Amino acid sequence: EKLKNTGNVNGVILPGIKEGKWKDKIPRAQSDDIPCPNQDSSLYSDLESRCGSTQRPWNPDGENLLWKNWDFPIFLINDGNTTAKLYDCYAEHNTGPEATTWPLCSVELKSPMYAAKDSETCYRRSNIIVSIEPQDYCEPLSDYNLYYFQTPRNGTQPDGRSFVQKEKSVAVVLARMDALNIFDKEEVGFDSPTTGIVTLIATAQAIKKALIRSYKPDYENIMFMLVHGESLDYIGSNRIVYDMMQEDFPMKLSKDLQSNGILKNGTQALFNLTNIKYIVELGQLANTQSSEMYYHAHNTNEDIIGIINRLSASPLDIKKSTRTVLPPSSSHTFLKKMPDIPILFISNFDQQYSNVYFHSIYDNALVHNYKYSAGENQRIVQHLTQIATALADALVFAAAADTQSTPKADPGIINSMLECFAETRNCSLYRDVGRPRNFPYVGIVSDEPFAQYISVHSSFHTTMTKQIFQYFTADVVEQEEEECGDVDSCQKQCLMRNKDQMVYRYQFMVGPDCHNQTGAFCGVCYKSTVFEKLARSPAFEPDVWKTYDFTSNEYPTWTESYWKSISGRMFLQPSPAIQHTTLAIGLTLTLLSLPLTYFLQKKSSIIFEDGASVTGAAGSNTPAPVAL
Amino acid sequence: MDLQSRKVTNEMKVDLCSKYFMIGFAFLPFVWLVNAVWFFKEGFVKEEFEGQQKIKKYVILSGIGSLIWTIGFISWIVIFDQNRVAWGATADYMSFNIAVGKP
Repeated sequence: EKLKNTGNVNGVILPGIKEGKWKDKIPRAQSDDIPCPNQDSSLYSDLESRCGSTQRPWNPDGENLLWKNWDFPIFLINDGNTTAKLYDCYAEHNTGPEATTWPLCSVELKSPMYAAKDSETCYRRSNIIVSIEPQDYCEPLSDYNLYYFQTPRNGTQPDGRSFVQKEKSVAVVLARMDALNIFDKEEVGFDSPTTGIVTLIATAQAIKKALIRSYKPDYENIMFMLVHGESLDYIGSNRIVYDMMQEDFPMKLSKDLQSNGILKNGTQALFNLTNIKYIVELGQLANTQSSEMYYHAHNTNEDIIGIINRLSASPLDIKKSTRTVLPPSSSHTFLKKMPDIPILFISNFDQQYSNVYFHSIYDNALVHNYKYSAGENQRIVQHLTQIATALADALVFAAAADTQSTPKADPGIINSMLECFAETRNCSLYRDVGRPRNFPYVGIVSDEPFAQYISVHSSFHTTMTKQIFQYFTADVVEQEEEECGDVDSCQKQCLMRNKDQMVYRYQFMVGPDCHNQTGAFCGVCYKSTVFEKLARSPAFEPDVWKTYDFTSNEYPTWTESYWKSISGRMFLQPSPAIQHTTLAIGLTLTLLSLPLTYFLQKKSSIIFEDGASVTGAAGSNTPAPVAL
Repeated sequence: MDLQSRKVTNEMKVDLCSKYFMIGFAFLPFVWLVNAVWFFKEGFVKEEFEGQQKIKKYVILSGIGSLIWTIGFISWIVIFDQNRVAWGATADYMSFNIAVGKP
């Protein structure tokens, strides 16, 4: 901040800590977000409540790098060779007794961005159609939310009547799916969101394995949701709430009826905010500093108390938070539209984040002491297993009347998921859940995990998360008597079952037994109730944005600028004296050449003596000889 | 057309000058500018001939016309350039090309 204010800084290069000269030189604490994350979309209107307390805000290490306007490029360079070269060039040419008065070793950073001013302006400009080659300036942030219903929701009951979901009959478990920091494609967060995603999926799988045969009278289902874009003023949850209020969740039923039953093979009943019994939200869960867990409860009622009691009775070390306000969480979005929903927010912090690297490039597996090769018994895996087991148990205890067994989370799958999300995309779980004609069986598989940033289109992170979720909660479709043929035709037959229905999602994945060193040779058809829904702010809906007041803060309006290629180069710069001299010579030559040319042209008859070569020169008065 | 050629009569010159003057009223200031420059020598430098008064009149009027247009253009360009950012949406709807990366 201070450096920026001097006005002398033209660009910043940050050397990466993964390899090279600065390997493992991780700062003590670093957060790119603000001390009170998502404060403008908070449920509360006063700053004190938004921050937890202004003296001790939720994210004390927040340096607000993300939301400031930097008018110079900031580059992160991970490659050890490049950072070494940069340093050596500087040491050799710019320092020492022979150093020049100008920066001999210089770097040029190019990062051209097309958008300017604000989202409203750049989005409006992108939509003005004036020529046949319209220019785009920015795009709204967008990806997909994922949701999973424990029990399939067939819209038509066995007796033919249509199913209507009862009020306050569905327990909801929620976690965010995205990470954020200032460097593009480097957004991988271990504590936030990976621990939440992994624990949520493990809880769902544990409940599925326990096999709920019937619910208690006031419960009809349990829903799990992974919402995207929550780091940016709750994009995903805003969209879900909007869809629910527009009667568009899980899909637009009225449209289906109008078009003569596009989903004639099965629909789902509508679901909206009134069907939510309570929300259990999973925040940051890593036990890097201590295994103590906290719950922050809002609108506490007997259901919530029941869950709390059951959690407290489990081996999990969980205490009530000493704060009275709800930390920044997706639940805020739901509460703004329906203020009486009971909320239970579970996290690893009481008053301030225990994660000192929230929303920064340093929130990684290394810093949280996770390594896949350390196996299921390492601290973090055991800790998340404990949370998932306790939560699954508490939910089943509250909701189920009859189950086959008590739920227990599987540490093996937690370890597998952590490997893929936080260590490398070249992991065994991605090979099990991959589709045979997609990643990882097609394309290059590098060693970095997928970025978890929402970006402006669907991402590998979302797609693979969805497939992992389906894999762990789906039933295998038994193959009929005759073989379905080769991989492609098997896949086609499996996906055909998705036609005209929205009760189940059939996914064709390779599975654990169908791949070897050379690739995938067969696949399995999975029948799941995991769905995806567009997560883009309602403000950019075609019938909303033209009249939407962008200053109203009702919906998030984050967009990403279009940009041309980003590059940098290093070179040795000649001295200012030489540059000025070159310019002066050039100018002089140009200025001299004008009168010189004129002079040559005027006196051409004298200078060029051969008469026959005179053609149309101005000022020539000698008549050309005429042949007789 | 070469006005120096003997085939071009004075009547034709006057006719041409007046035609150009009339055409310029169709929002064509450049036609007026061409008219003024092209017939300047005819109107003011050459010796007196039949109809030269008319040519003088047209040249002067064409010159004034194109000058007014020029002043108008320059004024609008300066005003728009200074106020484009402040005018926001209105200015965007008036623009054919909006620069990338600038407010």
